This record gives sequence, structure tokens and C-alpha cells, in this order.
Amino acid sequence: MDINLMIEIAPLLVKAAWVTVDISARALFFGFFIASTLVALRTSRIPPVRWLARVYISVVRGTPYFVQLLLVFYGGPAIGLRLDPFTCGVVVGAFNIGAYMSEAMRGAIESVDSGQSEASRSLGFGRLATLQHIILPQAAALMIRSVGVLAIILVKNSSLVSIISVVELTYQAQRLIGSTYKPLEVFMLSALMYIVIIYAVMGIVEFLYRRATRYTFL
Amino acid sequence: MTNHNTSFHRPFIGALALLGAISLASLPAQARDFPEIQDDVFQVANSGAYPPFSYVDTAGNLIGFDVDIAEALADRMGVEVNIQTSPWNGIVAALAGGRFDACICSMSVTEERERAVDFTDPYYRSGLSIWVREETDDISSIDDFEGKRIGSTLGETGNQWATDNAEGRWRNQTFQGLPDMLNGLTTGRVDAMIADDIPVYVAIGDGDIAIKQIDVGELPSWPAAIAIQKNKPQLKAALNTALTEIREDGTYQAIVDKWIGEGVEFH
Repeated sequence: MDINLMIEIAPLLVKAAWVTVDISARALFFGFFIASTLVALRTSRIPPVRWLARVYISVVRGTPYFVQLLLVFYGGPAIGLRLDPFTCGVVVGAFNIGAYMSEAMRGAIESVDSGQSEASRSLGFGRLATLQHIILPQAAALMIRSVGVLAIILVKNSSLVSIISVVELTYQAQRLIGSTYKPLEVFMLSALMYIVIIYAVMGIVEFLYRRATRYTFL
Repeated sequence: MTNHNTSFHRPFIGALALLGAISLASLPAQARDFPEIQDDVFQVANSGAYPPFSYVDTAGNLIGFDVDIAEALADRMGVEVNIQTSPWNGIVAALAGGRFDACICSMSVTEERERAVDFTDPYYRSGLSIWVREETDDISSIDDFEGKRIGSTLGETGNQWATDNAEGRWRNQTFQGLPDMLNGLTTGRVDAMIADDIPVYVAIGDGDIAIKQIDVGELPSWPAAIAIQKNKPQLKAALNTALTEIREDGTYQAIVDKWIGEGVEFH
């Protein structure tokens, strides 16, 4: 194994790993808002609004992320939607993970005991105040780990944006094969970097989980 | 000036910096003569995975024959150029969708591609070649392909040749690029491979890749040309003029000597 080569290309791969982190973090950030919106739509009192959200979630969950990327990036310009590669990766990533996250959030909210809500309402809290002060703090603790799993999937899926020419960890590794012809060294190093990123995400998730459950017996 | 380090993140800052650069640096006057290119910068793409024509060195620079040709042409046309990589299997779709102005990417002119994009005059001819492992002794002609696994690269003319001529005699395996395919051949995933010849010569020249070429007689060759979007006559004319100019003044030959090697038959 060529250790010198690995040392030589490490800075390039670290830079590309940062693009992986950047694109995943942004997709997660915007995905959270999309997920929250979807949860709100799914609990709407107007049936067509609920159906719309359900159809959207079904479509996103029923198609591969890879196909979604190809569709938006290569098919988008035909209908006047021309996103640059990085933005396209963030947007498709956010809309994709948003659909999955909304299901995780809805599940967490629904699993908070209904007695909590009834008790809150009987104490005079309004619907919104009940949600904000009683339901969400408990649901948050329940959803952190499942959202964390989605964040990890998002990081790993980000390797697929190489197909739309974002120079992230996987695409940079593939490009380096062209000049080095050393797939073992290059891909091992990139795999190692994915492990570092994913362990960091897991660390953050555990930290947030412990904070959220400080005062509970979850 | 080229910006090989494709900084796709922070598009906003990138756009601002670009605007600043354009307003500060007075552009060459001729740049205005090409309304058919976007943003006053000639946006060029290649696969970045096709040494010696386009590849990324271990310092992260995009280099190669096609890169130097693109820079020489842009220089002749008096425009700024930005050279980027785009994965090969989506490069025609990306060009047709307006992601860049031209593919200077060793693209062979084929009927299928001509339906989607327009081509300039050829800037070289590429020939197909067939390769086997050094120790292989049972393949010396196309007939010996019977029952074998033959490798070729997705979207390349060799792939089309292998698909069109198999007629059930051999099994085709498609790879994403030459490095993958060389790996496939040396590790025994395929028994032979069909590929454009020059990149293979270069690849085995500076590595310890134990393969040999077999002479199977005349194989088809295709002209490689610059692909641009359809209905851009001015851009096409400008590129053709610039191609003629760099051939006449020796720039083209200097680039050939640098990347392909002196004395190699290449035109």
C-alpha cells in the first residue's frame, strides 16, 4: 500500500470532505423546515391540504434519491429550472430528507401520551401553548435519535451528488483515480473520512439527546 | 484565466466575486462579439477522468490535452475561460441543458450525439484498440471473443462498437471510465477491453499495468470534436477559426508534443 500517496492526496480529500459536510448540513437545516411544514400540513383541518402532503411524502419516499437528483439536475433546465450543482444537491437533499423527517417528527409527536395534552388543556393552556410547552419538549427527545439516523443517511447519500458534478468526497476520489490508478488507497482514505464525519454526527446526536432528556425519565 | 478549483459551495460569494472581477478587469473588446456564450466567460467542461486528455493531478489541478486546447482556443477568441469537470455519462445532457457553453472533452462525433448537440470541425482522430492481460494467449482476433467478457466504457465509441457487434457471441461489461476498466481487466473481471488507444498508451506508459495490445485488423476510428449547443453559428465559426489558427501557428503541435508525446502519429 502506498502510504506516501495517501499523505499526498489527503489535503484534497479533506477539502472535498468539507464539501460533503457543507452540503449535508445545509440540506439537513432546510430539510428540518420542510419537515415541520409537512407535519403542519398533515395535521391540517382541510382535507386537500392533508392529501397534498401525503402525496408529496409518498412520491419522495417511493423514488430513489439518485433518480430525484438526475431528474432535477438534468431535467430541470427543460422547464426553466437551472440550479448550479451545489444548490441542486442542497435543494434535492432537503426536499428528500424533509419527507422522511416529517414522518419521524409526526411519529414522535403522536407517541407523546394523550393524557399530557388533556392535562395541559384542563389546566387552561391553549392548543398552541400545549404544543409548544408540553408536547414538543417531550417529542423533541423522542425524535432526536431518529432524526440523527436520517442525518447519517443524508451524509452517506451525499456521495450520490457526484453524478451532478459536485466535487465532494466521492467525486474527488473518483477523479483522483484518473491520475493515480490506486483505487485501494484513494477509496480507503475517503471511506475513513466518511467514518470520521459520521462518528461526529453520532456524537452530536448523543449530546443533544442527553440534553433533551436531562429532566425526564425517557 | 481558469478556475479549476470548482468552488461550487458558496455560490453567492462566488457570484459576487465574479461580478467584481468582471467590473474591475476590463474585458477584452472581442468578448462582446460572442453573445452566444453565457456570462462573458466561456464555460467549458470535460470529464476530468480521461488522462492524458483531462484529469486531476494529486495537487487537485485539472490538467491535460483538452484543458490546454480549451485555453489556447479561448485565448484566440479573446474570451475568459472557466474549465470544469462534469461526469462523462451526463455531459451531453448537461451541455444540452445549458450548464456550460462547450465540451472540449475528446468527444467523438456520432449520429446519436448530433441529434442533441452541434459539433465543430474535428480537432483530432481517435482510434479504437483492443487489450488483454499480458499472460492471455487465447485471444488474437475478434473471433476469439466468443464466450468471453469484453469491457468498454459507458458513452464511448468502443462501447457502441462492442454492443453493435456482439450478436450474442460475447458478454459486454460497461465501466464508468478507463481507470475502472483497466482495474477490471487486470483483476480479471473482463478478459479483454476495447478503448480509445491514446489514453491506454499513456496509462500503461507511466504505471505498472501488465496488459498488451492485440492487433485485430482495421477498427473504426472517429473524429473528436468540440460539442456546443445547437443553433450557435457564431460560436461554432469562432471555434473553427481559432482551431485553424492554433494549428497554423504551431500551438496545437506544441500541445500534442506535451501530452501525447513527440513522434506519435496524432492529428
